[in-house]
Amino acid sequence: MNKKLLPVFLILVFVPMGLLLWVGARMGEYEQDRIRVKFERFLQDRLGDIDDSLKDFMRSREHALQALLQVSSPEPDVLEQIQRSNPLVGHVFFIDPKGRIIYPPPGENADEAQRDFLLRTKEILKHANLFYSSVQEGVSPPSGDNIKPQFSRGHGWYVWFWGEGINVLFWRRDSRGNIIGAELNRIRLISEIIARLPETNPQKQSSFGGMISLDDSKGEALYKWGRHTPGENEKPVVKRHLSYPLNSWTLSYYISPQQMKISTGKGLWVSLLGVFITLGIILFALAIYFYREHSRELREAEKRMSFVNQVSHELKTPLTNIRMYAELLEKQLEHELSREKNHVNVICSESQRLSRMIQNILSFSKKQSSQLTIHPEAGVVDETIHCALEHFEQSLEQKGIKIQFRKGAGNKVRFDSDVLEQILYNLLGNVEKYAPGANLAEISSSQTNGNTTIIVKDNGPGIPKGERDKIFQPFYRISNKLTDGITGTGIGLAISRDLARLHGGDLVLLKAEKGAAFQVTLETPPEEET
Amino acid sequence: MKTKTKSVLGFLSFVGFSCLFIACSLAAQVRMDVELDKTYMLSEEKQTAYIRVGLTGFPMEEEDYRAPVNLAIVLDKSGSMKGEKIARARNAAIMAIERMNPNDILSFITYDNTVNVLIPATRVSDKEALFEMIRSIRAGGSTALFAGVSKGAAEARKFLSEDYANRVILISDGIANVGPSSPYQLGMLGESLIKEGISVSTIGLGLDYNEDLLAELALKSDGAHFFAKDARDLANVFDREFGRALSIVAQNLKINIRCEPGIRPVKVMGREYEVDGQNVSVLINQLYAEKEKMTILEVEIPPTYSGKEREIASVKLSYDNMKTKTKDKLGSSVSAHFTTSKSRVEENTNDKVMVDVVTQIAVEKSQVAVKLRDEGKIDEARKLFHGNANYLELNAKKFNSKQLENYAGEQMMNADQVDKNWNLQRKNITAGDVMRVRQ
Repeated sequence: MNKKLLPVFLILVFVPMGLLLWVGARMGEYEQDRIRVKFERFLQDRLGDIDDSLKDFMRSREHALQALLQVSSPEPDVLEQIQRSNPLVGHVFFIDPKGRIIYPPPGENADEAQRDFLLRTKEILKHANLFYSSVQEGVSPPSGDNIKPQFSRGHGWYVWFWGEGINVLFWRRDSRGNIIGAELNRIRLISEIIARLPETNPQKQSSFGGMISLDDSKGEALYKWGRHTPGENEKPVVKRHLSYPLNSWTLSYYISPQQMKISTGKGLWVSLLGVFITLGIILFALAIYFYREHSRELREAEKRMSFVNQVSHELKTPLTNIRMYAELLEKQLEHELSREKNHVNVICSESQRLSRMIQNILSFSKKQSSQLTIHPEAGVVDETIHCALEHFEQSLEQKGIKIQFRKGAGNKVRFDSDVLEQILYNLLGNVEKYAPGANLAEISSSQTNGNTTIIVKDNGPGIPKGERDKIFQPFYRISNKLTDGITGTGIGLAISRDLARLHGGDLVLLKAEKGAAFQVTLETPPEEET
Repeated sequence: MKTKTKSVLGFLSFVGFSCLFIACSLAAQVRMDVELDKTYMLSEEKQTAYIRVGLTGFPMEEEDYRAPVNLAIVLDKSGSMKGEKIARARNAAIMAIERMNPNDILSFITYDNTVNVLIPATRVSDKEALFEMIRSIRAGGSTALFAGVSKGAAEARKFLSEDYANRVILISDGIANVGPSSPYQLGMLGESLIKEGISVSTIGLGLDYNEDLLAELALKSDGAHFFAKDARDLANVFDREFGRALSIVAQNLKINIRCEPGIRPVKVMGREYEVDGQNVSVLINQLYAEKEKMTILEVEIPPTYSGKEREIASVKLSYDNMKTKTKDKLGSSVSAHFTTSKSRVEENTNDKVMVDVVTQIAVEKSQVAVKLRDEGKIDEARKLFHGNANYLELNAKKFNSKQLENYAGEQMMNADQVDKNWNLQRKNITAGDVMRVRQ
């Protein structure tokens, strides 16, 4: 029993536990992801704040430059003064409405720095009249060929790549169509931005283990701040491009792995795991409890069974004696027709019945403890059937049931005659008990190929449809008006079937129009003629 | 009769007082000396001449008067500064702060791979607190030099004013490796800083720093550049530079040289300048008490008739006087005589100007030699150093100049050392040349 039960028990405990763990892990993972996403969004917001402050800075510079470049005519002194007194201004330029560069002056009048500037900006300033801005100070040009185009005023940034990275210039178009602008000293721009970004103070800084890096268009760091130093291959947790006109620069947020663990609450995951482990332990304890209960019940049942077995054995011995003397007496009074003979007949048949009952119980008990065995010997099946029929002849006659035996198993075969006898006793006993309205009991036997088939048929009330399978279950007795009042243990058909199956065959209930028909098959290998 | 005496007396006293006043105010004036290399030039020849403009700071009179200082100290505390270097740097800074008073503004910035504004721009009132902060500096990390200087300039900007002597002093021992790190880029930063009147003086410590980078930053912002061989040297160098910052008497000195018609301005030696037709402008950011800074303009003289005295150029100077807190102006001019007599020309050669001219030419040659050596052309470099030394020797004798003789000696040493210990040598040369060019 225990061997079969153990794997079941293991499955019952570990499968739910496994499921719980799996569910717990998945839940933990989802929670982790959710927290991580939240954390990343938080970091992005911080980068967004920095971007906003730099946007403000660029806007303020834009306004300052707009005011600064309010010149109407390209007087070199004025333009040089602007250049000289403004750290952020690299070179000033002035382009007339026809697109000619008035300042810096072309040719030899320009110094080396100015010539470099013109080279850098040649392609751009050529198309300066195409500068457009989202901020229109004036009216957009009206359509029509005859109307001289009215230049829209406006101002804005222009960004292009040159040398190590981005170059920024500011341009302003006035109402006459002149474009006045300034190329920024890009190094100064970087320097002013750095001056605006936070510094790194180990004492004052909050204990947040992170580092933010401002990188240029090539991805090289312009400035870093924060206490964390990222490892060689460490990647930023979040990245963000700055707003125009610095949009080719990026901010990268690096977080130390320890800080990540703290902020994304890996601890939460561990506690979730703890909950599930506790649940698992409880399940385990429950399983053990039920297992022990079950084992105890099994042990109790076994004790009962062995008691029954013991009792039956005890009963068998005195009963055998009673039968022996009763049969002796019967034989002595065989040729008499006296009242004493009738009395002895009753004693004989009742003690035989008792014997059969005990035999059934013993067989059943042996079956339960797997001790039931077959002992085939040489013999003729029909002879055993004949003996059994003789046994029941009288009692069946008394009930008005005639016996018809069609012989067909006369070969010498190997079979356990005691087993066959017990099966027949049960079937015939049932006919006697449960078929009072019947008047005929047909028994037929046949043999083929090492198998013997015996059919016991009566024309009594038969077995109701719903009970056809149940009747073979141990202890089951059909409960209706017919059976009420008739004693029985309910193990007859169960043990008969077990015995038949043990003998290599089966006991089945056949379909019959009237009455009940039971078919016994046994494996009966032919006896070798020596 | 009485009234007449009275008015005479009044007039005399007025004159007396105004003279005294002028004398007093003259005493607190920058002195400008404009000289030509030759007061007599050969006639009917196209020739080169040199105009030297020398500016000397007036002496600081009382012991306790000096222009308040707005100083930002930027200290490299990258890993390479560990040990004695950082200890001495801390000490030097503390000693400097000892010499400051509550009129002065100090900010202290340290950098490794990130920047820490250790002491934001503040009045030097609680010195102990400042010392505490400086003592807490520990070395470690890489080098964000550009960011350090940017933050330093930002701190100086907080109290930027004409009334203060505004300066950043950078101490670095390493190669910049975070952010803009080339001499050109640092030069561009320097260029932008001088526009606001902030000069950066740079001190290179040890043998691992990039001297071109520090020199360029100093040159473009009109600061000074020094080489401290080791930690002990640092204290001296820093003290000297700090002392100079404390002795600034004039700022924002704008020199405008207007060449007379026919005189063609060629170039200014050793300084940033602007040319606009006949006008040349040079900016010198700061002038120290009793120290001279000079600039030399090379001009081309057209053939001129003998016997003529010709106006060569007129010079205008405007500057911020730190003592009187006024914007002062000075003017001067130079002219030359033209003669056929070569001996006349010889007699009237201004040795002082020529010494400086020769020095500037030698510095240019020295820079070329350094470039050759950088390219690995050791022999060519050596030849050039040699040649330069000879050139200097010759002129040292001609003009009886110790300055030229010393320089000649240095160039000889350069020639010798060109293939050994070049790193040390190069740093020496760079620092020396910057000094010669800018004083």
